[in-house]
Amino acid sequence: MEDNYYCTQGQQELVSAKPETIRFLMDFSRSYKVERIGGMEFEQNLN
Amino acid sequence: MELLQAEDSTLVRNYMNGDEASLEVLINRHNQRISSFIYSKVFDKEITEDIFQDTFIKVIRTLKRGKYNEEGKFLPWVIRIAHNLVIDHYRKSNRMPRYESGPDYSIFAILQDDNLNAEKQLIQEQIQSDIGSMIRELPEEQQVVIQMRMFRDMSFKEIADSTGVSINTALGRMRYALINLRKMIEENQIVLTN
Repeated sequence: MEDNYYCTQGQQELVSAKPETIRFLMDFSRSYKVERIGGMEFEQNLN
Repeated sequence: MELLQAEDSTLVRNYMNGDEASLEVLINRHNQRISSFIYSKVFDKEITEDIFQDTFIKVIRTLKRGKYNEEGKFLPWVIRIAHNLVIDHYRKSNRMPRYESGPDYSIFAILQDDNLNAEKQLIQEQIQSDIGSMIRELPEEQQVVIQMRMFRDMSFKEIADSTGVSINTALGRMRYALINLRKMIEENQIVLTN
């Protein structure tokens, strides 16, 4: 499975983050909210 | 389809205006470049995955809080965040990277790796740009002293004569300029190393 995301090209190993990491980041982004009340900033993460 | 062809700056703007799909395009577009950069520093795929994730969590938080102000320079900015997190990783684990020959790594790869030099160059430029931006945030009299001392290599006597103040005042302005710059570096979590 790992071979799908890691490959060697010439001398440099090319690496990519896995789809599940990207899914996690997208979920994090969708649930992350910032509210500003009276000049104060509040972060919310529903996850 | 249009999103896939949009420039980074457009995608960043879209995302800051609430378009989540734009973020996905940005992550996928730069996934390999950023992951390979991190891997070239830590030589561990799981740590690379963790640092990649933490990098984009910082990106998301910064963009959603409206704190991003580096138009047109999305990739260097993200790489700099990743670079800072790599340094944090080594600070936490209290060990520095070692270059060893072996099946996974060749010293000649580093010497010949133009991509890594290009990344270093990007980071260096970004650091210089950050310092320039921070200096511009200082009160004018402090900016003048910094410019004269750091970039024109003038003595404090020359600065004092040139700006019509006493040497003590020039020294005081320099001191406050450095205090303010340190404060900005801490607030923005900037690591000035390459």
